[in-house]
Amino acid sequence: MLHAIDHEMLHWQCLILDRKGRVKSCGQWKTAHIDEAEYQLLHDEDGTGRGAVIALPRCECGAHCFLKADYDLEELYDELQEVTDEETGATVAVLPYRYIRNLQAHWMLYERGKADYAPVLPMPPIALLERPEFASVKPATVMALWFGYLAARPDGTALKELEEASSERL
Amino acid sequence: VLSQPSGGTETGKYYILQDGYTTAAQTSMYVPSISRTSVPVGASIDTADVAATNVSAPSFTAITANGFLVNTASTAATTNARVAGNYTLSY
Repeated sequence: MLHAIDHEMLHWQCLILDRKGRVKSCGQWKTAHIDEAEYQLLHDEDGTGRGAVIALPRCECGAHCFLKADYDLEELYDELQEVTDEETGATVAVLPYRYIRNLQAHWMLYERGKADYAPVLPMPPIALLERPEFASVKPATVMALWFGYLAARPDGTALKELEEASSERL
Repeated sequence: VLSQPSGGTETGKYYILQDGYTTAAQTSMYVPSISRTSVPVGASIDTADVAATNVSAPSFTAITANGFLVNTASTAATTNARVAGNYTLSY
């Protein structure tokens, strides 16, 4: 899986394990530009992009890593985690980073015209990431909250509200 | 039901053996995962047990909480097309 996305560079570990958890591949940390990754969709039977993956460049040791690139709202909803503010007791849903990195890589490919379908959730607007109150917050944290908010209602109502708010601004 | 936690992995083997009736004939093998409910973020595969013989390098598709599909295609009309190895699912 992806461990980091630094600008347009993807970072991951070449990892094949045996049944005892011993590393059978080279185990090296790998880096590649997003343009080296390939969106693959073998069968597009229902016209939704279901089954798509992102193939990372094959390692010299022969191992090949693939990222899931067809999350639906229910799958993301099931992976949400709750974070509670100790002072107020308020609880928010956040999407773990490992899913965010997949969505981010998927978006990067889609914006380059290299993915047939966009991820199920939109990326946060640049304006949101640049707001002063988020200056001391890592962009990944903002994204965890952003995607958590959108995925918290798997019926898609949060997405509809977002689209309505966007169209009103226009 | 086993459900892999965050950061967990699942490992196993796959083996694809086919008669490639023509070049580019596809063969897929669905591998059910042991873990359920948790959705993987990715998967890795190798050809350590049987190097790809008359088939393309295997690839993943349709990764879900229930398993995944390993896919390959014959590179010639042949009665000897095979590939096998290990896979690791990352959660």
